[in-house]
Amino acid sequence: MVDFHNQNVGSLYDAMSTSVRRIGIVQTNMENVNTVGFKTVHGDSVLFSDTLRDVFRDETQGGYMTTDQKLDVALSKEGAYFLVEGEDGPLRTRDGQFHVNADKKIVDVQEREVVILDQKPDKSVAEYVIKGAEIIIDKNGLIRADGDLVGRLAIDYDSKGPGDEAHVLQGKLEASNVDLQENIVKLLQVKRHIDTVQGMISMNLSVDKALVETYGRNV
Amino acid sequence: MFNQYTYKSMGAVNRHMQSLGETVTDINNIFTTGYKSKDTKFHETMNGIKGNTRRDLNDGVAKVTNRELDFAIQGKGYFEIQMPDGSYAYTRDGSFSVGPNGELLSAQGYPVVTSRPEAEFINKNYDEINGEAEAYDVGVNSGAAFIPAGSAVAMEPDGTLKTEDGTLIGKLNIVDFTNPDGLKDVGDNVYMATAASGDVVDVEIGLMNNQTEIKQGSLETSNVSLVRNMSTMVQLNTIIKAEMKVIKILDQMQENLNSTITRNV
Repeated sequence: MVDFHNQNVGSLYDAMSTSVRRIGIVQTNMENVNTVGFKTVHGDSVLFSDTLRDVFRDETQGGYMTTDQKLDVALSKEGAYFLVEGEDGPLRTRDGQFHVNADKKIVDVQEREVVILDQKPDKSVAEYVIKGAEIIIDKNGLIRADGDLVGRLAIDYDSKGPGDEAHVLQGKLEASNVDLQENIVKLLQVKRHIDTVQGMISMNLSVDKALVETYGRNV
Repeated sequence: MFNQYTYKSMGAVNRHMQSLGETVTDINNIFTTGYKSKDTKFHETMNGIKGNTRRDLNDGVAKVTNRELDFAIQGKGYFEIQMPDGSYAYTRDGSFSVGPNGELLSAQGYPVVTSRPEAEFINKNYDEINGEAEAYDVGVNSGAAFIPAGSAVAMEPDGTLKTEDGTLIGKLNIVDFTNPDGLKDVGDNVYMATAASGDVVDVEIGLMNNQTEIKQGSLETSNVSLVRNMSTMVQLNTIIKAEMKVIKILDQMQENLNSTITRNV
Protein backbone atom coordinates (compact mmCIF):
# COMPACT_ATOMS: atom_id res chain seq x y z
CA MET A 1 0.00 0.00 0.00
CA VAL A 2 2.79 2.40 0.98
CA ASP A 3 4.75 1.41 -2.13
CA PHE A 4 1.69 2.19 -4.23
CA HIS A 5 1.44 5.66 -2.73
CA ASN A 6 5.17 6.30 -3.12
CA GLN A 7 4.89 5.26 -6.74
CA ASN A 8 2.02 7.69 -7.26
CA VAL A 9 3.87 10.58 -5.67
CA GLY A 10 6.97 9.66 -7.72
CA SER A 11 4.98 9.77 -10.97
CA LEU A 12 3.41 13.06 -10.02
CA TYR A 13 6.82 14.46 -9.13
CA ASP A 14 8.11 13.41 -12.59
CA ALA A 15 5.11 15.06 -14.24
CA MET A 16 5.78 18.25 -12.34
CA SER A 17 9.48 18.19 -13.26
CA THR A 18 8.51 17.85 -16.91
CA SER A 19 6.19 20.81 -16.64
CA VAL A 20 8.83 22.88 -14.89
CA ARG A 21 11.17 22.11 -17.81
CA ARG A 22 8.42 23.26 -20.17
CA ILE A 23 8.27 26.52 -18.26
CA GLY A 24 12.01 26.85 -18.87
CA ILE A 25 11.48 26.38 -22.61
CA VAL A 26 8.61 28.88 -22.76
CA GLN A 27 10.63 31.31 -20.66
CA THR A 28 13.66 30.94 -23.00
CA ASN A 29 11.42 31.74 -25.96
CA MET A 30 9.97 34.79 -24.27
CA GLU A 31 13.30 36.26 -23.26
CA ASN A 32 14.41 35.90 -26.89
CA VAL A 33 11.40 37.63 -28.41
CA ASN A 34 13.72 40.46 -29.47
CA THR A 35 16.83 38.42 -30.33
CA VAL A 36 17.93 38.70 -33.96
CA GLY A 37 17.36 35.45 -35.88
CA PHE A 38 16.26 33.48 -32.78
CA LYS A 39 14.24 30.34 -33.52
CA THR A 40 11.45 29.27 -31.18
CA VAL A 41 12.09 26.14 -29.12
CA HIS A 42 9.15 23.79 -28.83
CA GLY A 43 8.91 21.33 -25.96
CA ASP A 44 5.37 20.04 -26.18
CA SER A 45 5.00 16.74 -24.34
CA VAL A 46 1.97 14.69 -23.53
CA LEU A 47 0.53 15.30 -20.07
CA PHE A 48 2.10 13.07 -17.44
CA SER A 49 4.85 12.01 -19.82
CA ASP A 50 8.04 11.46 -17.87
CA THR A 51 10.28 13.05 -20.48
CA LEU A 52 10.14 15.83 -23.01
CA ARG A 53 10.44 13.75 -26.12
CA ASP A 54 9.90 16.43 -28.70
CA VAL A 55 12.19 19.34 -27.96
CA PHE A 56 13.00 20.94 -31.30
CA ARG A 57 13.74 24.28 -32.88
CA ASP A 58 11.08 25.84 -35.02
CA GLU A 59 13.11 26.91 -38.06
CA THR A 60 10.24 28.95 -39.51
CA GLN A 61 11.38 32.20 -41.08
CA GLY A 62 11.17 35.23 -38.76
CA GLY A 63 9.94 38.60 -40.02
CA TYR A 64 12.33 41.28 -41.27
CA MET A 65 13.40 44.46 -39.52
CA THR A 66 14.54 47.22 -41.84
CA THR A 67 17.69 48.85 -40.51
CA ASP A 68 19.07 50.52 -43.68
CA GLN A 69 22.60 49.58 -42.56
CA LYS A 70 24.65 48.46 -45.56
CA LEU A 71 26.27 45.54 -43.71
CA ASP A 72 23.04 44.22 -42.17
CA VAL A 73 21.83 41.21 -44.10
CA ALA A 74 19.05 38.67 -43.73
CA LEU A 75 18.31 35.39 -45.49
CA SER A 76 14.98 34.78 -47.18
CA LYS A 77 14.71 31.05 -46.60
CA GLU A 78 14.79 28.51 -43.79
CA GLY A 79 17.76 26.15 -43.67
CA ALA A 80 20.27 28.67 -45.05
CA TYR A 81 23.05 30.26 -42.99
CA PHE A 82 25.87 32.79 -43.19
CA LEU A 83 29.28 31.45 -42.22
CA VAL A 84 31.61 33.00 -39.65
CA GLU A 85 35.05 31.81 -38.56
CA GLY A 86 34.92 29.87 -35.28
CA GLU A 87 37.87 28.54 -33.29
CA ASP A 88 37.42 25.08 -34.81
CA GLY A 89 36.35 26.08 -38.30
CA PRO A 90 33.40 27.86 -39.90
CA LEU A 91 30.20 28.26 -37.87
CA ARG A 92 26.69 28.88 -39.13
CA THR A 93 24.64 31.89 -38.13
CA ARG A 94 21.35 33.49 -39.14
CA ASP A 95 22.30 36.73 -37.40
CA GLY A 96 23.50 39.07 -40.15
CA GLN A 97 24.50 42.11 -38.04
CA PHE A 98 27.93 42.62 -39.58
CA HIS A 99 30.34 45.52 -39.24
CA VAL A 100 33.98 46.44 -39.83
CA ASN A 101 36.06 46.19 -36.66
CA ALA A 102 39.21 48.05 -35.63
CA ASP A 103 41.34 45.31 -37.28
CA LYS A 104 39.73 46.14 -40.64
CA LYS A 105 37.83 42.88 -40.87
CA ILE A 106 34.13 42.29 -41.46
CA VAL A 107 32.85 40.60 -38.32
CA ASP A 108 29.55 39.64 -36.70
CA VAL A 109 28.31 40.94 -33.34
CA GLN A 110 30.50 38.42 -31.55
CA GLU A 111 33.59 39.68 -33.41
CA ARG A 112 33.88 36.50 -35.49
CA GLU A 113 35.15 37.12 -39.00
CA VAL A 114 32.51 36.69 -41.68
CA VAL A 115 33.46 34.24 -44.44
CA ILE A 116 33.61 36.19 -47.71
CA LEU A 117 34.66 34.36 -50.85
CA ASP A 118 36.27 35.63 -54.06
CA GLN A 119 37.74 38.77 -52.50
CA LYS A 120 40.29 40.72 -54.51
CA PRO A 121 43.85 39.75 -53.53
CA ASP A 122 44.96 43.36 -53.10
CA LYS A 123 41.92 44.79 -51.31
CA SER A 124 39.43 43.25 -48.91
CA VAL A 125 35.73 44.15 -48.81
CA ALA A 126 36.35 45.79 -45.41
CA GLU A 127 38.82 48.20 -47.00
CA TYR A 128 36.22 49.26 -49.55
CA VAL A 129 33.75 49.89 -46.71
CA ILE A 130 36.34 51.97 -44.81
CA LYS A 131 37.07 54.04 -47.91
CA GLY A 132 33.39 54.88 -48.11
CA ALA A 133 32.59 52.98 -51.31
CA GLU A 134 28.94 52.36 -52.05
CA ILE A 135 28.40 48.76 -51.01
CA ILE A 136 25.62 46.82 -52.67
CA ILE A 137 24.94 43.21 -51.69
CA ASP A 138 22.63 41.56 -54.17
CA LYS A 139 20.19 38.70 -53.65
CA ASN A 140 22.89 36.12 -54.46
CA GLY A 141 25.24 37.54 -51.82
CA LEU A 142 27.52 39.13 -54.42
CA ILE A 143 29.18 42.24 -52.97
CA ARG A 144 29.80 45.23 -55.21
CA ALA A 145 31.78 48.31 -54.22
CA ASP A 146 31.06 51.32 -56.44
CA GLY A 147 29.76 48.86 -59.02
CA ASP A 148 32.79 46.51 -59.03
CA LEU A 149 32.41 42.92 -57.88
CA VAL A 150 34.65 42.57 -54.79
CA GLY A 151 33.43 39.46 -52.99
CA ARG A 152 30.64 37.04 -52.17
CA LEU A 153 29.02 36.15 -48.83
CA ALA A 154 29.43 32.44 -48.08
CA ILE A 155 26.05 30.77 -47.53
CA ASP A 156 25.63 27.25 -46.24
CA TYR A 157 22.50 25.10 -46.48
CA ASP A 158 21.01 22.21 -44.50
CA SER A 159 20.17 20.68 -47.85
CA LYS A 160 19.80 22.34 -51.16
CA GLY A 161 18.01 21.28 -54.28
CA PRO A 162 17.32 23.15 -57.50
CA GLY A 163 15.57 26.44 -56.76
CA ASP A 164 16.32 26.25 -53.03
CA GLU A 165 18.73 29.17 -52.97
CA ALA A 166 18.03 31.72 -50.27
CA HIS A 167 18.05 35.36 -51.22
CA VAL A 168 20.22 37.81 -49.32
CA LEU A 169 18.39 40.95 -48.24
CA GLN A 170 20.63 43.95 -47.58
CA GLY A 171 19.68 46.55 -44.95
CA LYS A 172 17.46 44.11 -43.10
CA LEU A 173 17.77 41.75 -40.14
CA GLU A 174 15.74 38.65 -39.43
CA ALA A 175 13.56 39.11 -36.35
CA SER A 176 12.98 36.39 -33.77
CA ASN A 177 10.16 34.03 -34.75
CA VAL A 178 8.85 33.80 -31.17
CA ASP A 179 5.10 34.39 -30.89
CA LEU A 180 4.66 36.26 -27.59
CA GLN A 181 0.92 35.57 -27.25
CA GLU A 182 1.32 31.86 -27.98
CA ASN A 183 4.01 31.56 -25.34
CA ILE A 184 1.93 33.39 -22.71
CA VAL A 185 -0.93 30.96 -23.38
CA LYS A 186 1.48 28.02 -23.11
CA LEU A 187 2.81 29.37 -19.85
CA LEU A 188 -0.69 29.64 -18.41
CA GLN A 189 -1.46 26.07 -19.55
CA VAL A 190 1.69 24.76 -17.88
CA LYS A 191 0.86 26.71 -14.73
CA ARG A 192 -2.61 25.11 -14.59
CA HIS A 193 -1.02 21.70 -15.09
CA ILE A 194 1.44 22.26 -12.30
CA ASP A 195 -1.36 23.49 -10.03
CA THR A 196 -3.29 20.27 -10.77
CA VAL A 197 -0.27 18.07 -10.11
CA GLN A 198 0.42 19.93 -6.87
CA GLY A 199 -3.19 19.35 -5.84
CA MET A 200 -2.83 15.64 -6.56
CA ILE A 201 0.42 15.40 -4.63
CA SER A 202 -1.29 17.17 -1.76
CA MET A 203 -4.20 14.71 -1.93
CA ASN A 204 -1.83 11.72 -1.94
CA LEU A 205 0.07 13.07 1.01
CA SER A 206 -3.22 13.64 2.87
CA VAL A 207 -4.22 10.01 2.23
CA ASP A 208 -0.82 8.84 3.50
CA LYS A 209 -1.22 10.98 6.57
CA ALA A 210 -4.74 9.64 7.20
CA LEU A 211 -3.54 6.04 6.78
CA VAL A 212 -0.69 6.53 9.20
CA GLU A 213 -2.96 8.20 11.73
CA THR A 214 -5.71 5.55 11.43
CA TYR A 215 -3.54 2.43 11.48
CA GLY A 216 -0.69 3.86 13.54
CA ARG A 217 -3.09 4.50 16.44
CA ASN A 218 -3.95 0.80 16.65
CA VAL A 219 -0.37 -0.50 16.59
CA MET B 1 14.39 26.10 -10.43
CA PHE B 2 11.63 28.73 -10.16
CA ASN B 3 14.20 31.23 -8.85
CA GLN B 4 16.39 30.58 -11.86
CA TYR B 5 13.53 31.34 -14.24
CA THR B 6 12.54 34.41 -12.25
CA TYR B 7 16.08 35.79 -12.52
CA LYS B 8 16.13 35.04 -16.26
CA SER B 9 12.89 36.96 -16.65
CA MET B 10 14.29 39.83 -14.60
CA GLY B 11 17.34 39.88 -16.89
CA ALA B 12 15.04 40.09 -19.92
CA VAL B 13 13.07 42.95 -18.29
CA ASN B 14 16.33 44.81 -17.57
CA ARG B 15 17.55 44.40 -21.15
CA HIS B 16 14.29 45.65 -22.58
CA MET B 17 14.16 48.53 -20.10
CA GLN B 18 17.62 49.53 -21.36
CA SER B 19 16.30 49.49 -24.93
CA LEU B 20 13.31 51.54 -23.81
CA GLY B 21 15.70 54.06 -22.22
CA GLU B 22 17.60 54.37 -25.50
CA THR B 23 14.37 54.85 -27.42
CA VAL B 24 13.36 57.64 -25.02
CA THR B 25 16.84 59.23 -25.42
CA ASP B 26 16.41 59.11 -29.20
CA ILE B 27 13.02 60.80 -29.00
CA ASN B 28 14.46 63.45 -26.66
CA ASN B 29 17.13 64.17 -29.27
CA ILE B 30 14.84 64.48 -32.25
CA PHE B 31 15.81 68.16 -32.60
CA THR B 32 19.51 67.76 -31.70
CA THR B 33 21.81 68.82 -34.54
CA GLY B 34 23.67 65.87 -36.10
CA TYR B 35 22.36 63.37 -33.51
CA LYS B 36 22.55 59.73 -34.60
CA SER B 37 19.85 57.44 -33.31
CA LYS B 38 20.81 54.42 -31.24
CA ASP B 39 19.55 50.93 -31.70
CA THR B 40 20.06 47.87 -29.52
CA LYS B 41 19.78 44.47 -31.12
CA PHE B 42 20.06 41.32 -29.02
CA HIS B 43 22.01 38.23 -30.00
CA GLU B 44 22.59 34.80 -28.56
CA THR B 45 25.99 33.97 -27.11
CA MET B 46 27.36 30.96 -25.25
CA ASN B 47 26.74 32.86 -22.00
CA GLY B 48 23.22 34.01 -22.71
CA ILE B 49 21.74 36.95 -24.52
CA LYS B 50 23.70 40.11 -25.02
CA GLY B 51 22.74 43.50 -26.36
CA ASN B 52 24.64 45.29 -29.05
CA THR B 53 24.00 49.02 -29.15
CA ARG B 54 25.01 50.78 -32.31
CA ARG B 55 24.31 54.11 -33.88
CA ASP B 56 22.48 54.60 -37.14
CA LEU B 57 25.17 56.44 -39.10
CA ASN B 58 22.92 57.42 -41.98
CA ASP B 59 22.82 61.16 -42.68
CA GLY B 60 20.21 63.43 -41.19
CA VAL B 61 18.68 65.95 -43.57
CA ALA B 62 20.67 69.19 -44.07
CA LYS B 63 18.43 72.02 -42.91
CA VAL B 64 19.18 75.42 -44.44
CA THR B 65 19.85 78.11 -41.84
CA ASN B 66 21.73 80.64 -44.03
CA ARG B 67 24.07 81.31 -41.10
CA GLU B 68 27.66 81.44 -42.33
CA LEU B 69 29.11 79.54 -39.37
CA ASP B 70 26.69 76.64 -39.67
CA PHE B 71 28.13 73.61 -41.43
CA ALA B 72 26.44 70.28 -42.22
CA ILE B 73 28.37 67.12 -43.08
CA GLN B 74 26.61 65.02 -45.69
CA GLY B 75 28.32 61.66 -45.92
CA LYS B 76 30.78 60.04 -43.56
CA GLY B 77 33.05 61.85 -41.15
CA TYR B 78 33.15 64.10 -38.10
CA PHE B 79 34.37 67.60 -37.31
CA GLU B 80 37.46 67.45 -35.13
CA ILE B 81 37.51 69.56 -31.99
CA GLN B 82 40.06 69.98 -29.22
CA MET B 83 39.06 69.33 -25.63
CA PRO B 84 40.34 71.44 -22.70
CA ASP B 85 42.86 68.68 -21.78
CA GLY B 86 44.39 68.86 -25.28
CA SER B 87 42.87 65.60 -26.51
CA TYR B 88 40.86 65.46 -29.73
CA ALA B 89 37.17 64.73 -29.91
CA TYR B 90 34.66 64.47 -32.73
CA THR B 91 31.19 65.80 -33.44
CA ARG B 92 28.65 66.03 -36.27
CA ASP B 93 27.23 69.24 -34.83
CA GLY B 94 28.45 72.04 -37.11
CA SER B 95 26.80 75.02 -35.42
CA PHE B 96 30.01 76.95 -34.82
CA SER B 97 30.60 80.37 -33.34
CA VAL B 98 33.45 82.82 -32.86
CA GLY B 99 35.08 83.04 -29.43
CA PRO B 100 36.23 86.21 -27.67
CA ASN B 101 39.70 85.94 -29.23
CA GLY B 102 38.40 85.22 -32.72
CA GLU B 103 38.81 81.44 -32.49
CA LEU B 104 36.32 79.20 -34.26
CA LEU B 105 34.43 77.30 -31.57
CA SER B 106 32.16 74.26 -31.73
CA ALA B 107 28.61 74.28 -30.36
CA GLN B 108 30.07 72.92 -27.12
CA GLY B 109 32.56 75.82 -26.93
CA TYR B 110 35.70 73.84 -27.87
CA PRO B 111 38.14 75.00 -30.61
CA VAL B 112 37.40 73.53 -34.03
CA VAL B 113 40.53 71.93 -35.49
CA THR B 114 41.57 72.95 -39.00
CA SER B 115 44.52 71.98 -41.18
CA ARG B 116 47.06 74.51 -42.33
CA PRO B 117 48.06 74.35 -46.00
CA GLU B 118 51.55 73.07 -45.10
CA ALA B 119 49.94 69.98 -43.59
CA GLU B 120 48.24 69.21 -46.88
CA PHE B 121 51.50 69.69 -48.73
CA ILE B 122 53.38 67.36 -46.39
CA ASN B 123 50.65 64.78 -46.75
CA LYS B 124 50.70 64.97 -50.54
CA ASN B 125 54.46 64.40 -50.57
CA TYR B 126 54.03 61.46 -48.24
CA ASP B 127 51.40 59.98 -50.54
CA GLU B 128 53.63 60.37 -53.58
CA ILE B 129 56.56 58.67 -51.83
CA ASN B 130 54.49 55.77 -50.59
CA GLY B 131 52.45 55.33 -53.73
CA GLU B 132 49.05 55.24 -52.07
CA ALA B 133 47.20 57.61 -49.83
CA GLU B 134 47.08 56.31 -46.28
CA ALA B 135 45.36 57.49 -43.14
CA TYR B 136 47.52 60.08 -41.43
CA ASP B 137 47.61 61.82 -38.11
CA VAL B 138 45.35 64.74 -38.71
CA GLY B 139 46.46 66.28 -35.43
CA VAL B 140 49.88 67.08 -36.88
CA ASN B 141 50.21 70.58 -38.31
CA SER B 142 46.65 71.32 -37.32
CA GLY B 143 45.25 73.85 -34.96
CA ALA B 144 42.39 76.14 -34.12
CA ALA B 145 41.18 78.56 -36.75
CA PHE B 146 41.05 82.29 -36.06
CA ILE B 147 38.61 84.59 -37.77
CA PRO B 148 39.43 88.29 -38.03
CA ALA B 149 36.89 90.45 -36.19
CA GLY B 150 33.89 91.42 -38.28
CA SER B 151 35.00 89.35 -41.24
CA ALA B 152 32.58 87.19 -43.23
CA VAL B 153 33.56 83.55 -43.76
CA ALA B 154 33.25 81.71 -47.06
CA MET B 155 33.85 78.01 -47.58
CA GLU B 156 35.25 76.30 -50.65
CA PRO B 157 33.91 72.86 -51.68
CA ASP B 158 36.92 71.10 -50.09
CA GLY B 159 36.18 72.63 -46.67
CA THR B 160 38.71 75.46 -46.85
CA LEU B 161 37.54 78.56 -44.98
CA LYS B 162 38.53 82.02 -46.22
CA THR B 163 37.62 85.55 -45.28
CA GLU B 164 35.76 87.73 -47.75
CA ASP B 165 39.05 89.26 -48.94
CA GLY B 166 40.47 85.77 -49.65
CA THR B 167 42.65 85.40 -46.54
CA LEU B 168 43.02 81.76 -45.62
CA ILE B 169 41.54 80.77 -42.24
CA GLY B 170 42.11 77.02 -42.42
CA LYS B 171 40.61 73.84 -43.79
CA LEU B 172 38.04 72.02 -41.67
CA ASN B 173 39.42 68.68 -40.50
CA ILE B 174 36.86 66.03 -41.35
CA VAL B 175 37.94 62.62 -40.13
CA ASP B 176 36.43 59.20 -39.91
CA PHE B 177 37.38 55.90 -38.31
CA THR B 178 37.78 52.29 -39.37
CA ASN B 179 34.89 51.39 -37.08
CA PRO B 180 32.87 54.55 -36.24
CA ASP B 181 30.59 52.42 -34.05
CA GLY B 182 33.56 52.04 -31.71
CA LEU B 183 33.58 55.78 -30.89
CA LYS B 184 32.66 56.54 -27.30
CA ASP B 185 29.71 58.84 -26.77
CA VAL B 186 30.84 61.24 -24.02
CA GLY B 187 27.63 63.26 -24.12
CA ASP B 188 26.85 66.73 -25.43
CA ASN B 189 27.00 65.40 -29.01
CA VAL B 190 30.73 64.65 -28.67
CA TYR B 191 32.55 61.38 -29.36
CA MET B 192 36.04 60.20 -28.39
CA ALA B 193 38.23 57.68 -30.21
CA THR B 194 38.77 54.28 -28.54
CA ALA B 195 40.75 51.15 -29.39
CA ALA B 196 37.55 49.73 -30.93
CA SER B 197 37.13 52.70 -33.29
CA GLY B 198 40.43 51.82 -34.99
CA ASP B 199 42.56 54.04 -37.19
CA VAL B 200 41.71 57.54 -38.29
CA VAL B 201 40.61 57.45 -41.92
CA ASP B 202 41.17 60.27 -44.37
CA VAL B 203 37.84 61.57 -45.67
CA GLU B 204 37.64 62.87 -49.21
CA ILE B 205 35.65 66.09 -49.33
CA GLY B 206 34.05 67.19 -52.55
CA LEU B 207 31.07 66.71 -54.76
CA MET B 208 32.10 63.47 -56.49
CA ASN B 209 30.26 60.19 -55.91
CA ASN B 210 30.45 58.91 -52.34
CA GLN B 211 32.58 61.81 -51.23
CA THR B 212 31.65 63.69 -48.13
CA GLU B 213 30.13 67.08 -48.77
CA ILE B 214 30.16 69.99 -46.37
CA LYS B 215 27.34 72.46 -46.71
CA GLN B 216 27.83 75.95 -45.36
CA GLY B 217 24.70 77.70 -44.08
CA SER B 218 23.06 74.39 -43.19
CA LEU B 219 22.85 72.12 -40.17
CA GLU B 220 22.42 68.36 -40.19
CA THR B 221 19.18 67.44 -38.44
CA SER B 222 18.84 64.44 -36.15
CA ASN B 223 18.25 61.18 -38.02
CA VAL B 224 15.84 59.89 -35.39
CA SER B 225 12.63 58.53 -36.90
CA LEU B 226 9.75 59.39 -34.59
CA VAL B 227 7.45 56.80 -36.15
CA ARG B 228 10.02 54.01 -35.81
CA ASN B 229 10.79 54.96 -32.22
CA MET B 230 7.13 55.17 -31.21
CA SER B 231 6.54 51.76 -32.74
CA THR B 232 9.59 50.38 -30.89
CA MET B 233 8.29 51.85 -27.63
CA VAL B 234 4.92 50.15 -28.03
CA GLN B 235 6.63 46.85 -28.85
CA LEU B 236 9.00 47.10 -25.86
CA ASN B 237 6.10 48.01 -23.60
CA THR B 238 4.28 44.83 -24.63
CA ILE B 239 7.37 42.67 -24.11
CA ILE B 240 8.10 44.14 -20.69
CA LYS B 241 4.47 43.63 -19.61
CA ALA B 242 4.64 39.99 -20.81
CA GLU B 243 7.87 39.38 -18.88
CA MET B 244 6.34 40.92 -15.75
CA LYS B 245 3.40 38.55 -16.21
CA VAL B 246 5.85 35.62 -16.35
CA ILE B 247 7.47 36.75 -13.09
CA LYS B 248 4.00 36.97 -11.49
CA ILE B 249 3.06 33.46 -12.69
CA LEU B 250 6.35 32.02 -11.43
CA ASP B 251 5.78 33.71 -8.07
CA GLN B 252 2.26 32.23 -7.85
CA MET B 253 3.60 28.76 -8.61
CA GLN B 254 6.24 29.10 -5.91
CA GLU B 255 3.54 30.23 -3.49
CA ASN B 256 1.32 27.25 -4.35
CA LEU B 257 4.24 24.87 -3.91
CA ASN B 258 5.05 26.30 -0.50
CA SER B 259 1.41 26.02 0.47
CA THR B 260 1.22 22.35 -0.66
CA ILE B 261 4.35 21.41 1.27
CA THR B 262 3.49 23.24 4.49
CA ARG B 263 -0.11 21.95 4.54
CA ASN B 264 1.09 18.34 4.63
CA VAL B 265 3.89 18.65 7.13
